[in-house]
Amino acid sequence: MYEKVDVLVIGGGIAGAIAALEVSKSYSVMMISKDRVMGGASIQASGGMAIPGIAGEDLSVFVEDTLKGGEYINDRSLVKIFAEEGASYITYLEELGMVFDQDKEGKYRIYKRTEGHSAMRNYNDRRGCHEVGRVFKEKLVKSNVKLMEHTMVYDMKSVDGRIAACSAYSLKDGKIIHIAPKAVIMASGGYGRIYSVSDMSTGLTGECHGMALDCGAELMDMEMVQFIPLAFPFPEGMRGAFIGMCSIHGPDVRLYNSLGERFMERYQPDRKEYATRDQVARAIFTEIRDGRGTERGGVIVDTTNNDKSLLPRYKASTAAVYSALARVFGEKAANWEEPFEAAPSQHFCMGGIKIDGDCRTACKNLFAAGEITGGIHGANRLGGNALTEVTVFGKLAGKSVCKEVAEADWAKESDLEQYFAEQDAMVKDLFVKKGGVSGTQIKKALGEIMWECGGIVRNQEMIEKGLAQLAELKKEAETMHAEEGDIWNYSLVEALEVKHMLKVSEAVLLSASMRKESRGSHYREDYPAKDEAYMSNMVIVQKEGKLVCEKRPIIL
Amino acid sequence: MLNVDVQRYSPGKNAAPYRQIFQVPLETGISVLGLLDYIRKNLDETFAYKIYCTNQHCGECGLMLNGKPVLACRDMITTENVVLDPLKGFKVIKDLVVDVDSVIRKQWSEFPVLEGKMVYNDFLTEDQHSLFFMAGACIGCAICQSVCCLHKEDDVLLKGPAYYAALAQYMLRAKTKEDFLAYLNTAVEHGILQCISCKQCSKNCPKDVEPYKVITAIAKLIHNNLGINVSKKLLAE
Repeated sequence: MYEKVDVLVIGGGIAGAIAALEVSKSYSVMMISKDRVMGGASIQASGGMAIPGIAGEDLSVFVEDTLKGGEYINDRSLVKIFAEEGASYITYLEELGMVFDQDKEGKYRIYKRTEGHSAMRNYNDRRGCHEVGRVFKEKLVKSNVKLMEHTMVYDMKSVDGRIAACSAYSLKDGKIIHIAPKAVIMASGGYGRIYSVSDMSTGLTGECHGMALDCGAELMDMEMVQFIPLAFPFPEGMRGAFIGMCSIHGPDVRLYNSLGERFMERYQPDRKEYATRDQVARAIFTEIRDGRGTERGGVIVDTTNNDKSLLPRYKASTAAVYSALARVFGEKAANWEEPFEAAPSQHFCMGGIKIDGDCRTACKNLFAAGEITGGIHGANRLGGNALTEVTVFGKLAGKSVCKEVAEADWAKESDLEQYFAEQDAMVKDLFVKKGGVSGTQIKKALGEIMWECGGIVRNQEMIEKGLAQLAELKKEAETMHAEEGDIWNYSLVEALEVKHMLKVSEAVLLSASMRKESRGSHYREDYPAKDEAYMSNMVIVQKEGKLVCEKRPIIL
Repeated sequence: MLNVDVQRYSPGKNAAPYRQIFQVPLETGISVLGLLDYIRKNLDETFAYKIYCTNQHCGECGLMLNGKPVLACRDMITTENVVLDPLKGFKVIKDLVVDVDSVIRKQWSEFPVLEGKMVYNDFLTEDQHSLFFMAGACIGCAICQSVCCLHKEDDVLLKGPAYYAALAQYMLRAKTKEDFLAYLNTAVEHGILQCISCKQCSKNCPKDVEPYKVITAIAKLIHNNLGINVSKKLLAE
């Protein structure tokens, strides 16, 4: 049994929602999301949105800021579209019915210049991003988009270079679902959960990246992973959760190691704690790694020197972080009266599926939009650009699919039947295997390998050690099992994720190994300087089941 | 060492929910999520609970901790004896997983689709405007629905604080007085005036949305605009 649809959208965030709604005007659409709709990383955003051109500046200024932030390895054709389409996206959201944080005269309440932007172009919403979520939820539940929440797509197949079929596991009703789409839009976000320490949603394990490779698509700049300097180092269950950058915690934040040394003076004598987020994250990581961290694995964040008159505004603009600090470290720490502890965490993925200006991938009828794609942010992303990206490219992907799906067709019945039978057998096999390790255990080991060998500070020796350990883990995964059970079986979910996580992790390490320089968020202590010879993109392709990394010229 | 008493239940497999005790070698001061993850990864991989964003944004991880509704990613374990139950008032899917989504989706499918640029309307005072606006930060965790005596499992009538907070988003955007009054009528039809002012919704909201304040503001608007009698308690706020 399988279901035929015109278009399958994977991902329940803004990019996926916009794409699905766009396509649903003309074709049948199924939208699959690992979490609830609306969800994804979109609703996790702190509410900052960069609006190109709104400060009255020429769009080329926005383009230049984005390229500079990305250390000039961005796909310039995508950045151009990004700026041009981004300029009108606020109007687009407004017309869709979004209520902005404005006063009676229509002026935005919070409006600021965010790190890396040369103009005042960042709108900030006190409610976070739940309003954007509401706008799309309202439309999705009323649309003819078939919503499949809490469902994970775990395998995808292409036939003769074009999308043919995929299989998914629905947690809520405990069933394996087989789908034959004419086209697929992947909008399922980043791959941050390949790291043991991350502030991303637990579901962001990169299986779509893995499936894209299986279908013949390419990944680019996978080594470009963003880390935030401040996250909770403890307690259990909160490790890696977002605290942010020093800049959101007031104008005079000072960082100390366990020796009482204000170490940022050593790393960045000029801007110290207010250097870029990757510079600060690296410094903290190094201090902790070299034994100058606190007993519980962090550094000391001293906010007591801040001007206390700024406190009310701080509380209002960082409500969730403020209350989390109060719960873990006490009221005084949240109110700038006592220091607290923090350590870095994985935060965003700049790398991803390589797309063209119409969101097409190298596999026919496979499209991608949002954080899952690479190229737009280059080596680093500017604050507020993520929400602009998902809106612009979600819409674009929807439009492109509509143009191409008319000529597309479903794969042959016999091919589909055989593939789905294989998928059923694979899942049954996971339940039958005994003796080996579980997917959950492999996932845990993999997260630690990636944090140690492919994390904030990298070197050739560690990368090679990581690749060797991944190879070992891959062998173990061959006999991996999952606990039997149909409904809400996280053991099965994690076993299904592992295959793709191993592949995506390998892609990150291979790209990191080939990029023998430091650029943006990619830092190699054995090659600490930027090298113009690497003003290029690292592209991962899968050839006969093996991953190959190619250094290609940047896209103009 | 934590002594954790958990409700287990697989509908279709177990005749009724049953209790299971886990001895967990962890100390107090961890988050509920830390405890859940530990149990699943180390003691029983079949243990089911719901977790997604881990950062208090997705609203998926509501459950009962020692009888109180909390978000697993947000609240901390403070006692050595821990009792965990599924979020009260919702159908159990498995163990601690409940079906909040279909209730929330049913609520949203009741609402109209509003398009076009919002105009700051004058049906609301500036304070009401600001209150309703900030209620837009609701993450849909349904903790307020769980503690509200108006909300019943499988209730065909859509009632409860989260529903009214969502309705407030429409009052905020009403373009005509007629629409605005229609939203107020919807609130009445959906039982807002039956609120007994226990304030449990506001006390338990993990995002400080203040659903009770929203309810009293709507009650006041109903009283003033529709001329319907409203309880003194609701008007007193």
